Amino acid sequence: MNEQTWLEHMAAAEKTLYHVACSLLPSESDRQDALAETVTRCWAHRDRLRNEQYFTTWSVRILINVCHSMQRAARRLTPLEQAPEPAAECEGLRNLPLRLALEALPEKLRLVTVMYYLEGFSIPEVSRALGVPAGTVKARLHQARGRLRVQLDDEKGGDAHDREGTAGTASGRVW
Amino acid sequence: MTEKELREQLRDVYGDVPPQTHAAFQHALTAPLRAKGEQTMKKRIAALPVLAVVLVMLVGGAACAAVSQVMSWYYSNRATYLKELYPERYEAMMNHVLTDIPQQQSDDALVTVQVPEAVWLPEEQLLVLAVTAAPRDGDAVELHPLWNLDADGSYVSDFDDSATPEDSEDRGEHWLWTSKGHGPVRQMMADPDKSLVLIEASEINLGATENRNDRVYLSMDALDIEGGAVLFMLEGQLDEEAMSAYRVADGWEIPLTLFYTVHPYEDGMDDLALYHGTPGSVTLTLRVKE
Repeated sequence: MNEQTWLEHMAAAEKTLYHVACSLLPSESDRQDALAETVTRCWAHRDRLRNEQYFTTWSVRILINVCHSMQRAARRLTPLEQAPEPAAECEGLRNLPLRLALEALPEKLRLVTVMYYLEGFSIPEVSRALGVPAGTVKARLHQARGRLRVQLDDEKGGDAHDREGTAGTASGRVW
Repeated sequence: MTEKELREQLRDVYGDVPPQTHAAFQHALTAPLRAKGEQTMKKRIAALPVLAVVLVMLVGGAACAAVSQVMSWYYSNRATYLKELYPERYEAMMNHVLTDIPQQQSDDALVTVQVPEAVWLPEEQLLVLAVTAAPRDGDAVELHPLWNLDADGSYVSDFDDSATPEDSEDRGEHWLWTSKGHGPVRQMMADPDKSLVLIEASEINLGATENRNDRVYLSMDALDIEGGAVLFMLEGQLDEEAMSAYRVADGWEIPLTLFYTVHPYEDGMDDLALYHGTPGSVTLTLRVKE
């Protein structure tokens, strides 16, 4: 992969990488560091990417590892009372109910939700990026939908679930 | 809520990349991250002392040009994108390489850390530091950049239980990237009988203080160089208002502290212990005449 191609792929992946970083890191400065480190690693190891069509999933995978390393360091270095609150929020956010519901999700569920619903990754792509079987991705999406539904129903006073019913896939309904 | 509605609302929640983060990302794309030509650099750096001697012999005043060639080489070979996309910035940097920088390293029994070259470009608010580190006892210690450990991000400790055997890239064993290639740490060391020490340096403080709370992170690239040493290239755009404090009558006088950490590596050590390096620092002053 030449420099120009790499740059184009990297630039195209920026927003996706940022959203994934948002789902893993609470601090904007940490996200910046994670993205920069991901860029560095993607360049250094570009030869390991056998197929350019997998660039985005590959770079997301590297980002996730970088984020996990940062989380690991933060857990060891930050006294508990100073630890930032876990959060999915990014700057300029709106839609408080959904944001709170996302924050309440375990990281693994939040991650697949962002990748699948926000970034439009397919199940196999999420599977590849996370290094987990497709069945696991589906199970996590199922759990994420369920928890989001409960959270958002709670926000609405609990009647939304009764109106909407459950998982109507043929109509494109999430729940 | 339909799938379409969820997608739209997620877009609403996560939004666009903030301008500052976008700028940082773009900067990272053009930062010193080009990993090609490392072998060439080793040859060039090895040749520098010879070149310097020759230049001194042939042209008395030319030694300065020779000692600045590490940074010049770096941007001409490893970080080529800067030269190709921003040739004016590259030229300006090469015309403002500072050498013979007054500096003082904190007490350190393991490594010698120096800043042999630096650039301050006020018009770009750009600071570049070349940092070299070498083991004090090269017979007993082998030094590598911390980031050369598990550089592909595929090391997975028990912290990440999402790893599965289906993914062949995940591994629970530390790998080291060296001129020999990459693989298990001891196999990749030049001399596996030596103690492995890893070093990291990517943050500074402006001013005379050594208070780490005011630290500034710089973009960092690190590589092994000849003689068992490590070269860090640190680059960052600094806040214009903050830098105005260091303006003097005939240019700039910028006191700063470079922080680094050394991480002795032991086989089978708790991976998390790698995040507890021994801190050290180098205080220096950049004097730039206008």
